[in-house]
Amino acid sequence: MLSFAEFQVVLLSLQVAFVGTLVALPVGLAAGWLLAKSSMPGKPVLDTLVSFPLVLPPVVTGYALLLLLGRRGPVGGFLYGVLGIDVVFTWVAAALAVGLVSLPLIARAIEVSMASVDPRLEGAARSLGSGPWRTFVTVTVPLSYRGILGGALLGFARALGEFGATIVVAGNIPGRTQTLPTAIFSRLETGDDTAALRLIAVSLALALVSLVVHQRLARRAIRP
Amino acid sequence: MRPSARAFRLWCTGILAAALVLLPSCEAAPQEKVLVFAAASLTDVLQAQAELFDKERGVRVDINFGASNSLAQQIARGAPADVFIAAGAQPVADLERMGLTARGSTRELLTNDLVLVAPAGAGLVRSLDDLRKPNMRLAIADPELAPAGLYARQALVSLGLWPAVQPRLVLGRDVRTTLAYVESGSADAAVVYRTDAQISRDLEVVATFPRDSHDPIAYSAVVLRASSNGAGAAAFLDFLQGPSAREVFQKYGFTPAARK
Repeated sequence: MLSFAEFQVVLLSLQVAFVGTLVALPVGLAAGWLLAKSSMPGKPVLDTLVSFPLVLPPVVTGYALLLLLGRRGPVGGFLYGVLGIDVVFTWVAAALAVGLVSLPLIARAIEVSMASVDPRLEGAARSLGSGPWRTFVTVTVPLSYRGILGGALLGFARALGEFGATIVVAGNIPGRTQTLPTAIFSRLETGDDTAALRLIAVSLALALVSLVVHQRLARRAIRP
Repeated sequence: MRPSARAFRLWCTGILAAALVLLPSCEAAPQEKVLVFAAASLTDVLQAQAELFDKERGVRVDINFGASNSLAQQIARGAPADVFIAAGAQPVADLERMGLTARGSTRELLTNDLVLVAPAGAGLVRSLDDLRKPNMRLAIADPELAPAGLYARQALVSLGLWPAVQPRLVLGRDVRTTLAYVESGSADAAVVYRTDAQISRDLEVVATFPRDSHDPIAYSAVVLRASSNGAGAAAFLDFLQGPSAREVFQKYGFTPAARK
């Protein structure tokens, strides 16, 4: 069975992945909509930016966040100087890291499902007097919600497994920022293989659950 | 209402409900906790000390173990530690110079010895001289990251063994990783602290490095200036120098430093 400390690791992982996904979701919605529906200039630039966290080594993504959120960084410096808040090496930093790393998965899934929403339906809404925001909320989002949920679930599953960016920007502090992957790494490094295997089993189970739910959503989405 | 719209609302409600359940657990750490960043060689003994402190004073102590220099680097970047205990004076002195420590809170806590360990019983390495064997692999901690590696390099250099072992070194991230390399058979021997050797039942001390072959091994402890619980941090350090904690340190093979 899991010890209290291991249970804490699992709970913190879920919290970090959940909040990370929650933060990435609005950004993914905006990016997905811009990529699928808008004709703004500079779309290839946005396209590339959204994919960056997917192809960069996560350690680099983490370092970028560390520079941004650290006490001497533009965002972290403001937060520390004005509000006295430290973000780096807290669970919030871990959540931002996993959110950023899973953003490409979320944004891509949303883009694809929004692209398949019939533009004539949106056109009809617009012609009946809906503004762009209302059309987005009442037509585009409901018609692509399976893609949005699928992306969020895939992002959540990815967030649960994020290692590189997390350990750089949030460290590996037991009880504070230690998530499943970093906890497994610590156990392996110190040769505690049995504890590592217990946590690996939990990881497998969580990944399996998210992927099964994701698959069921995807299968239902294909059915007319 | 169309079914997909209803499902959409259901999902939204579900996610919001989950958020409401999860978010309360996200509040900031309460004040009565102390977060300690400590050298990896202190892993077992400090966990015991933290339990004792919790039992005696009712203050929870969380500990992040790692290589002293990595931990100092994390603290310099804003990691929210209250107390830092390094396996040497240098990492603490570095933070002091950066103005990150509470004035006058630095103290020498413990001393330790450096030993050569190998698997118990038969094995490739039975003495310091065996380190010259060409097929031997020696694990030491990375001198850039952990003081244990620095002491190991000093000792091997001063005994004239460095040129022989240098091409066959396996570098560990910290001293406990280094120990794990011999335990798992990835290396034939390792240079670690005497107290690390005592933790492992499958390993035995093959040789002790003479004290004058390396800098004195002294653990420095300090309260950090940015600590949100300075009083708790100082109380924990005072506790570590008290009689009950000294007993625990001795049980784990450490020599408490004389209190100045």
